[in-house]
Amino acid sequence: MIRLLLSAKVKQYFGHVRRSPRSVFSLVTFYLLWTFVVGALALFLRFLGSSALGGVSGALEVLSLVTVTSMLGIGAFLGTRGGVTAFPYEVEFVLTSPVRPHVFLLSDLAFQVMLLSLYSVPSSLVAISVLTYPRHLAYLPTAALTYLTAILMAAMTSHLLGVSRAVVGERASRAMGWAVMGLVVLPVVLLAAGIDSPPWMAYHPVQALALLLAGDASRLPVVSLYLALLVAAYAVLSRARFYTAVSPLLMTVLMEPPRRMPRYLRIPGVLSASIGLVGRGGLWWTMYALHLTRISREGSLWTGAMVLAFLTLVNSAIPRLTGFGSFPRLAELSMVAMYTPLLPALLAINWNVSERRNTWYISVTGDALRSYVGTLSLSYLTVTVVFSGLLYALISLGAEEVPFLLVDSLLLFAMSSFGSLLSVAISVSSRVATSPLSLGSLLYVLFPMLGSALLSLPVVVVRVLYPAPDVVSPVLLAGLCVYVVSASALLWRVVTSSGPRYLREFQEP
Amino acid sequence: MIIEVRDLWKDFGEGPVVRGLSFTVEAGEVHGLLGPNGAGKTTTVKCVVGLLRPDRGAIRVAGREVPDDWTYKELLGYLPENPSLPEYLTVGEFLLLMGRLKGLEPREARDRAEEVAALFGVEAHWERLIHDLSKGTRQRVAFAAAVINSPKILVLDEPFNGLDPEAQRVAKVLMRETAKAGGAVLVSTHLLDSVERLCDRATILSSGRAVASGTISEILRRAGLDEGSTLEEAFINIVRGSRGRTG
Ligand SMILES: Nc1ncnc2c1ncn2[C@@H]1O[C@H](COP(=O)(O)OP(=O)(O)OP(=O)(O)O)[C@@H](O)[C@H]1O
Ligand SMILES: [Mg+2]
Repeated sequence: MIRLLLSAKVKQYFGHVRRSPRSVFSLVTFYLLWTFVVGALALFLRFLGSSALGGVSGALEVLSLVTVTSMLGIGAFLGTRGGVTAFPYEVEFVLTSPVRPHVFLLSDLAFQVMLLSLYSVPSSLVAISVLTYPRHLAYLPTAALTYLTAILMAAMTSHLLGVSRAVVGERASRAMGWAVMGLVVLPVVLLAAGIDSPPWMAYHPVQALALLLAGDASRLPVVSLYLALLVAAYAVLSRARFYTAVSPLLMTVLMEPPRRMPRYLRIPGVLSASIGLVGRGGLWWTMYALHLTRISREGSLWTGAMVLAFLTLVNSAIPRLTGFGSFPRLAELSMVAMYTPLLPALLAINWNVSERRNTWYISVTGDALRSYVGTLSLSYLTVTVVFSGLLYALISLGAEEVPFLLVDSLLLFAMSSFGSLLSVAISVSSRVATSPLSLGSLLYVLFPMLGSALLSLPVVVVRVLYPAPDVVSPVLLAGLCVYVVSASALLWRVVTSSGPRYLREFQEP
Repeated sequence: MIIEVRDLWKDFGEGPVVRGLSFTVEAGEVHGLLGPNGAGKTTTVKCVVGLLRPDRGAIRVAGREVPDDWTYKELLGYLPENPSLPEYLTVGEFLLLMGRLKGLEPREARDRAEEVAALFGVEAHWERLIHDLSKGTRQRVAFAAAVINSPKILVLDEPFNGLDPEAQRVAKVLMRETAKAGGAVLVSTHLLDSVERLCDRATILSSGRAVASGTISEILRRAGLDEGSTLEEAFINIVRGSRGRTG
């Protein structure tokens, strides 16, 4: 029975791939690209690491800590969203069939472990090999095993939190999820803040797993203990009648159903006013208000912002530990800048999953598609600029002065602008991200991130190469501004002229 | 002639699902599009409203080429088979939005939104999110949105889906009135009793081809039945007959 449920799940998950061999090809390509990118990053880290204080083993330790934190963080995050990754068909047909709760749960556990491994194990193993070469053969077996343990723990955490909804109620379960997430990121936060971790931190599950992953075998008993505890809790809770608490998480993981959006998150005045203006402004304004309303009410904004903040936090730990103490400000800015396009990318994934099917009513009414696509990128841009600006301000709070304010702002704006336009381009012209956790989502994330990094290269070069702000002449700055604006304008033209063509011939997914 | 479909072909990659279909809808006419499941009704309707591009054939709506001359869209009201609505908007916001999209002025859009909401009995839901509505109420909202600009041409794909008898009545009256005012209505449905009373003419599709077309009594005659028989009997005879011929 478990195998039956699992194979149905896998078929559904890869459903769009079965339609054409071309999509198989493109997915495989992107998967390889992803692995390659991670490998390249590791290589980069290795060179930086060996020149900095921590050395290669320091870099390996940080990398392990970051991956374990992200893994368990994802687990806890899924947990706050309901934990069980059910498809709509499962909610409607499987849960109403005489399938025992723990059977369903185990099939989902296998699915989650499979999925997380598929995404992260090969690429992480590549990264570890790159970092530990030529001793990689000694590391790899333990690393693989530890990795799988981390994934299993993440999936079980997510399930435990999800199932606990049925026992303690949704609110308490969410609160627990947030608590667990806080606990998970604790070592990284300490690291990022530059606080020496107290000795008992070696018993912290994330820290212990990370040390084990980095080759410290003395952490094995601690990890085993945590695993045993988890399994025991799982065995008890999986008997609970949790079916009423299951929601189709796979679709909505990056969103909130509008009804459940807490009131205080709906940005009261501003946006309800803006949609109120729907009746008054012109078509472009109406469409712009429509997008902003959707983004704020369905909650993809908050999830995106959280993911962004989390990643920035996690990553600002890397330079600290590997000892680039000499230019941490640059590293922090580049983190904010690098991850900026992630926000429009997440918005684009959600758009593809939930909003593309609503474009029929735009297509059948006049020629509104152009303004629809145009304002879609404008709304992404608005949201992204605001959030990256906030993050940057937050990071700058600690610093006494912000010397590169102008160049930095330009860089953030460039990344936001290119990222937004590229996100709209990729999501409108392809329909591969059928759910937020699908392989196609990787494309939606990688394309804008790499693309806008490339397009922003001139600004990055100026920022990195110029030692002091007063060396950057106003002429150069103006030139960069002109470049960013005209490149954006060009992209905008392409997106608004060819985007509508893809939407016009509407087909249901 | 308000809607003219000539030699329409459409293939999704697994063989044609609409195969050389032709029919017309005249001014003042309610035209039924009938046929078994998978016959190609929805595909045809989507071609007519310009959501799908035909592989071959010509479609003219109000004298304009579909889908390239989009000006016909100002005259059009369309209700899809399973309307997917923006769940994060309230009923009022959605109706206003549709009014603006159809080119109404802001004041006019508000007045019409309130009118159609009252017509379909959803004014009590004005402030509620579409996400929270029942299936039938959503269908009412979608129908109200389709007619917000008092369209001359109505294209409706299984419009009675989920509607209660009262709302069905409203829908039927609206279709008749549109036709009486010189407009045209193309309606795909499986409710043959309604078709008998509502439609002036009908086309029966089977495997993407028109197997019968004309007034109800012409269709009865075509099925070899007399005036007292029902459309249901005629439908079953004709569809079985066509399957026998094509194998
Ligand atoms: N996007 C699509 N891709 C592939 N095949 C499709 C697609 N849309 C429709 N079809 C196929 O086209 C045929 C006609 O479908 P259509 O939806 O037009 O039927 P219908 O007459 O509306 O049926 P029903 O009464 O069930 O609504 C079916 O065989 C269907 O499988
Ligand atoms: Mg249909």
